[in-house]
Amino acid sequence: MFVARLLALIKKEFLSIWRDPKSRAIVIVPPILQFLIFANALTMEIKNVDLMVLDRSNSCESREFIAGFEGSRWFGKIHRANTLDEIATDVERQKIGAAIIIDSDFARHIKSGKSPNVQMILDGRSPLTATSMNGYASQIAAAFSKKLNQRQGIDGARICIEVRNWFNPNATYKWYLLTSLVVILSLVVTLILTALSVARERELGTFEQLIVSPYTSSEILLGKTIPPLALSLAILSAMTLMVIFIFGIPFTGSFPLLIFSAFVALLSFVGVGLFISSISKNQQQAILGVFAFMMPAILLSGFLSPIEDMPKVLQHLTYLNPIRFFMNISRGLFLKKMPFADVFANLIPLGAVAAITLTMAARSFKRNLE
Amino acid sequence: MPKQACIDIGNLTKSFSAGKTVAIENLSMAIEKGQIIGLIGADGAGKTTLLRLMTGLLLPDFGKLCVCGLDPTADKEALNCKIGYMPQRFGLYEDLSVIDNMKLYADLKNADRNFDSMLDFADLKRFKSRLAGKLSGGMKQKLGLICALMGNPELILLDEPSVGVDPISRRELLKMVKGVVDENRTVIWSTAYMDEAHGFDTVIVIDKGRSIYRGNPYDLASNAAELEGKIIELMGGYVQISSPVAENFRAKRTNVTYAVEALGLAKRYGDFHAVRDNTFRIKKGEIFGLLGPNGAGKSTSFRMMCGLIKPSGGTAKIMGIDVVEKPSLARSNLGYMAQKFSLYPNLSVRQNLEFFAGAYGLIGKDFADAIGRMTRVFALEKYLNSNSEELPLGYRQRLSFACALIHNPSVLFLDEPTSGVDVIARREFWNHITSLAKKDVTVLITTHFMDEAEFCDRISLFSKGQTIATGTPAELKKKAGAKTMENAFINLISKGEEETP
Repeated sequence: MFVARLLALIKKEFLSIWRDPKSRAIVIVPPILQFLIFANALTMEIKNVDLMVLDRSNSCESREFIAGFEGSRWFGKIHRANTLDEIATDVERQKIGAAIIIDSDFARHIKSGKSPNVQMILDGRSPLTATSMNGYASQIAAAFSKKLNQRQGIDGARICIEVRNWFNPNATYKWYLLTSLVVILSLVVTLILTALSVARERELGTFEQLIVSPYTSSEILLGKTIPPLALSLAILSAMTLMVIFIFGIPFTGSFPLLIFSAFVALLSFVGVGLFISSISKNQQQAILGVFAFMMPAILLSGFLSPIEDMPKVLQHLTYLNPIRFFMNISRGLFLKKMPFADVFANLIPLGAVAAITLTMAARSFKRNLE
Repeated sequence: MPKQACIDIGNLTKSFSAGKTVAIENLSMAIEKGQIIGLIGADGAGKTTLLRLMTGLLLPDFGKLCVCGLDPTADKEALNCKIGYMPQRFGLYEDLSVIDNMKLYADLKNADRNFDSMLDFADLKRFKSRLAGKLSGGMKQKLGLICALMGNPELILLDEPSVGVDPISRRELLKMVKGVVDENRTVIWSTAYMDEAHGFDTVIVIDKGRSIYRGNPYDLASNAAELEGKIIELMGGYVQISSPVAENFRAKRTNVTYAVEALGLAKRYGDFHAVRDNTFRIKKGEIFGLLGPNGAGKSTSFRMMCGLIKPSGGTAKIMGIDVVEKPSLARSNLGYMAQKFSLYPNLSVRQNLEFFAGAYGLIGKDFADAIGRMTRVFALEKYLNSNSEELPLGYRQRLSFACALIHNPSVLFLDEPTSGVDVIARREFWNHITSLAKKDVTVLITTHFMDEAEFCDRISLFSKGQTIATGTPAELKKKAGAKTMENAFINLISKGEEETP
């Protein structure tokens, strides 16, 4: 009888998600759309920024140096400037992201064996671009001096750095991005579905009908937890398969372990969603609540900036953030064949957070019924 | 000289969803100036559509419409200054105070800010800085009315101003409206209830988008009850048959004497006692009505008894089972029907029935039987696969009732169950209720309508959180020395208020 009642509730939840065009869209559209858009549009690699060169030396050496920039795949167009003013105006108008000024004594210095100076102007308004430009230019300059040294027979290159990117050999940003997106999109879908569920019923007046039925509050909570959980788990699995087979990102860890971790993580998201839902009077409030939680949670997950770079207080706060741990697991299982012990180390805090959020949801749920 | 027409309507038609539902069908009439006109009809009869057409909020499909000498479509702005419109769903800002709402409406209408006389008129002076959302139902409607009166409109359109308002406030509201009507000012008041309609100068009865009667109510009937009968005749008549709902009801055997008991129920919000020490017992098979003004605590009591609010003191028993100690078990004996249609709009009729059957633990043959029985007795076959939100209003009501009865409950809790349904549907509904009561189903019902109170076996009258009188309708009328239930209500409540200041 208990099972029959619960099944009726679960069936009704699935039906109301599926037969409501809005919730159906929430289940289908964002995962597919955002996956395609984010995967292709969102990138933090800085490429194709135009560069301007003021060559006061105008010598063989300076032209060879500039050729190094022209030949690289990092910059867009290389413009020529004749005066400093041109550079100033174009940086100001954001036509170019950086400029290089080669002094007239560039060739002379090289010939006499001294180090020549090259000035680089960067647009500090976008620090990320500036840092990348700086990095690229240094690499080109280093390559240039190495070549120069070999030609002149002097062993000047004392430092030679060979970079190897582990786990992501070509340092493809997409690998990093997609493995995190799986986590974030499953969070968004779960939160919205659960947050809307109680709030929608309250708006319709059906919540009272539910309370007056013989369902206990734990049964209602269970009936509200299972359908969104099952749906999000299905979406997450589908997205993972897309990442592996469509985007060709290697999955090195254990798939069952990923699904189990996802289950625990989604439980904690469901807890948050239900908590928001039980304190919202209507669907609008619920959606606002979801965003109020989601934005900081994503920012504090280590997705956009490394946790180690955050202020200490915020770093402590990230221990309460379920996304943080699930993100670790997802990336680890995808790219670096994370061993069970390490997954487990992330699962414990995740389970603890799930226990906290679900208890909070259950308590506010019960208090609301009284 | 004949009176000047205020509204002139010719062959007006308006339909929705690309002609699927016709709200107003080929309507023609002229309404004269200087009177109160009652627009009578059930929800969905076309009253609101007609009022909204008059204000220019909706555009007619075709036909002629002329309001205060203007065409609402072409001269909407000029017309706005001449009419005051009070929409059905409280058109005020709940988070603004009474006086701020008035200021807002005065500015919108470019009216003088001469609020004192208006506040006096509505007897709201004491509450002028209270938030509109915190006012009682009756006071909200009074405030809505004075806001609609801003700028001295020629025509005042009131869309169901009396819904959810108790008889005392309703009487005050009507008095206010009568006070503002003069030879140049016209009021249109829409309502679903006959007892209200009988007090107006002219009534226009709307049924399915057509006007079925227009004229002085006294020409049709000498009192409200008779009026209702006449209107049922005009709508095609109603023949009382034995209720298939009750015939198919399978009563559970039980030996409790009192099906429902309230034992010292109390609810406190901070210092405010919403309900004090409320005790009553309802015998098996009795129809028990809870009556009282808005804010008297009858809804709070009702909600405590079905477990929607946790009591701060005392308890209630349903079929002898304590609702606080064993809520789930107690509620399994209960069928509940809310005032508002509260089923799942995106689920089909069948899915709604299946959910409630499952919720009450019906499985296998019982499950299939229950759904088949409800479909049959409420004639829902035609709509089984339609979404419940697409049902015509009468069928929604039937579906709600079907869902409440699907598990053959011994006790029915009905919260203003007939608000908005047409007179025939209301007769049918009461036929089911009284027949079920004969099969030992116990009914607890709240209502604001005194003609319904007459159908109850016993009534408990609430005022200021306490029961002030309990008895049969006849006993209460005798106690109050009144002929009608409405007068008995008003007398007893005002007497009760004098005794407990």
